[in-house]
Amino acid sequence: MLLDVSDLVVDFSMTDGSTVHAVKGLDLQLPDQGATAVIGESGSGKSVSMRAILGLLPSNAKVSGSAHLELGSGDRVDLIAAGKNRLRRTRGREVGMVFQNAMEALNPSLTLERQLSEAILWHGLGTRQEARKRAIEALGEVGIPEPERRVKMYPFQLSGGMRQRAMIAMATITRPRLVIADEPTTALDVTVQKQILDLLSHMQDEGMALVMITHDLGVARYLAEDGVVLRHGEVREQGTMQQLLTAPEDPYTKMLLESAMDIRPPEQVLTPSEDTQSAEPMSPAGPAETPAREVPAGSTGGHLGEPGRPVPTAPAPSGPIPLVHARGLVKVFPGAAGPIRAVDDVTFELARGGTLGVVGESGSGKSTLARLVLRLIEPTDGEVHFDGRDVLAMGRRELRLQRRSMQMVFQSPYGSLLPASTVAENIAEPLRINRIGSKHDRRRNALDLLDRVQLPGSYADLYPRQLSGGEQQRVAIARALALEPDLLVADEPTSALDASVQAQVLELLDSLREELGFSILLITHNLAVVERFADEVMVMKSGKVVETGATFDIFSRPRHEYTRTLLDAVLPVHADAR
Amino acid sequence: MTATAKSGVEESAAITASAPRATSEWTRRWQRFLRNWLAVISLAFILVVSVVALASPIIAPYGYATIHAGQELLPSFSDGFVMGTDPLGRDIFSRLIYSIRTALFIAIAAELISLSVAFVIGLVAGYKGGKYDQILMAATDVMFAFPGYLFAVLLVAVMGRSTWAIILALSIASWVGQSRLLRAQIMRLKTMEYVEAGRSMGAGGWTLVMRYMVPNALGPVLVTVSFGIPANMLAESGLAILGLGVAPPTPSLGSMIIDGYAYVLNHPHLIAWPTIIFIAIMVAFTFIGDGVRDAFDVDET
Repeated sequence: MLLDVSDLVVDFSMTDGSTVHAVKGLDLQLPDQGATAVIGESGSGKSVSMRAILGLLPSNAKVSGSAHLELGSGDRVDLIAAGKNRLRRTRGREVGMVFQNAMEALNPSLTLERQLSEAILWHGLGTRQEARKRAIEALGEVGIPEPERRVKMYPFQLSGGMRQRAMIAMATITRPRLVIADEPTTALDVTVQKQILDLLSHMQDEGMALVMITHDLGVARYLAEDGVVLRHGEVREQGTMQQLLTAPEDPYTKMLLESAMDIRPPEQVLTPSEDTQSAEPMSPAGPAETPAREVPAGSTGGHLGEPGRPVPTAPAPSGPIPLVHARGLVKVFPGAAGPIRAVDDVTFELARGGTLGVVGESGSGKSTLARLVLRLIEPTDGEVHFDGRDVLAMGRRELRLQRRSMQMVFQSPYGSLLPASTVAENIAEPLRINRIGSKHDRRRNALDLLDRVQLPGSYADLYPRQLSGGEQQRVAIARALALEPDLLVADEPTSALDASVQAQVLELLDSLREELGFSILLITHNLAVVERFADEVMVMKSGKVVETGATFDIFSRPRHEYTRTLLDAVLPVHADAR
Repeated sequence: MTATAKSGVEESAAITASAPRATSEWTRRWQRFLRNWLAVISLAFILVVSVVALASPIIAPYGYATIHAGQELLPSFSDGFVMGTDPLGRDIFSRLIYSIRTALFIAIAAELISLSVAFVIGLVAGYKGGKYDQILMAATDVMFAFPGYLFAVLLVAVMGRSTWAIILALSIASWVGQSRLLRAQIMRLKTMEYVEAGRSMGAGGWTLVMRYMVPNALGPVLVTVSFGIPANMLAESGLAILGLGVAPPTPSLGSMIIDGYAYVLNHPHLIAWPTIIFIAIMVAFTFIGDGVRDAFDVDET
């Protein structure tokens, strides 16, 4: 047995005198070979427990229990009881660590050569010359092309995926017996994720055991043979991955498994897809309904209707007016190395009551596009028509009135709420800003909305920070609905949330859409989310639209190669997923 | 999906069970401030000093210019004169509390004026950006390059030694740094998600700045205020030492110190009392500043 952890307890004493019990008695046995996944959501203690073993926790942590590691020499040492010197000799030599954020974990002011050879020099494994040679070799082993040249570079000169590779090279250069990887792919794009995981699994062939700390069951399934499920610092279930994924016994594991979203194989999708199509007849009612809808929404119709301006008539040759019609949208940002075309000639339509999913990796311009549609930033070129009206031609006052009917839900639930206002005040904020109703009305309205998003009324007077992430996002959704908008732009609405909560929040959003009839522009990097919740999909890459069409078509018959790459990079959780 | 829905209820129930009480952001800041006992003691001290200074006409046993003939240069703890008397036979205690009143008034008034100027300039430059920013920052750069204290000396020399001349002189010297600080804060806050959320809800510029940015920019500003007030007091006494303080016979800490300087060997109490009190006030403000920083300096997640 390589590592034998028993009864590991970690308590943090906080500045206000309270104690947080982060890990409550963890037992874990690692074999000499193979990969073990430590699975858990935020606050499960998965990272803390592994850091505790290496003595990497801040000084307000109290660690007890034991963690016996078998050294290369055959001796066994208890890392919890070991002194500083023993630990220092162990870290980097016997156990390597790969962190989530390579940009932060690598020293920005040293070249890769210096950083990589340090471990060799510190542990007395070779001369400076040898260390330099090993550094180049190690970079080659992790698949970095032209290692001789890149070894002279600084971390910021590498791409995200390259940096993570360099990080792995650093953790494995001394050939440790154990590598602990803490969410090594969470900060990376899906297409890069798989490469890094393959690299980690290749490292096992070199005789290193791997501990993979992750929240993602798909990652765990892809890489690990064994798994441990943690929740609130306690082990909930332990066994082979096969067992955990096919016959989970613990209710929490079951719940994790059920809420994990996969892309369903085409034959399973057929029925729901037909459902949405039969629900479509909403849109033919669109044009007839349009003028009537404007009045209750309190939008532009009434007091601002300029007499000279033609009443919006359908410009489209046929069919109903789409709620949003963007044509040739372009946004150019000035950059250090010349202008960057963040959004490049994007055209799309969003039907009333429909959901359009915009998928792309980081830097694809999808978030910029969301802000262009709402005119939170000014496009360089192109047109946006909302309900047949030209959004870009609107004056400042007109735009502010128009914004009532297009609202946004942001990625970070906490960051988008006012920290110093209560939940009810936050929900009523858009009403307050637009001076709608009395204070009393607004509060009643906020309580109704709280109920709509399935939160108890007792939350009204709490502050956002007192709520969990999923609950905060529900509050943000309630706030976005306060003005009864026609369009909801959701920018990665669940990517900051735990997987078990993601599905709930999306289900809520979808049922509210059906009930209230607004449209959703759903921006996400998660293909499974789009597959389940969008009628139509637009795939973006480097500011351009790569492919667009009905969700079912795109997922069953992707035409563009990039779409296929994205689909292939998805790591399924369930055995029956595609 | 029923299973996940159930767990949602579970999650909520767990949170209600632990029953978090609704504590506002300001309450929490105050609680964090209270944890720094040095700051609390200092705040109490400053409050006592301020009350004594405000009530000096009532508390002072004599007027600040009342001359007691034949009782010149009495030592401390003499009968009727706790801190003794000066070479003209005036009560040092009375003069001291009157001068604290003057000093505090000048320091706080100057701070408020410079803060108001800084707010206008910082907010406009930070929020409007572009041309406004360039012009305003160019102006502050010019002011920054100019020795502020020299400017104050000049101003008092030209305008005469009135209280308001001194207040104006001091505020001109100190708005520059604060405007830059506010501008930086506003520029940082402009990129925050809740500000963007505010815009997407239809909030206008005024609402965005006043409701979304200013309350959250306040922390560092309050810290500079609690360091700015003692700095102003120091500057004021410095002017007095240069002979440019408030006109006599109105006492000021600086003039008391410089007047006592001539007698420092034989009658050290003349200089000791104002110096001790002055230093105590300065130190107390510094500790309060630390406490304010503790109160605000927390990652708010």
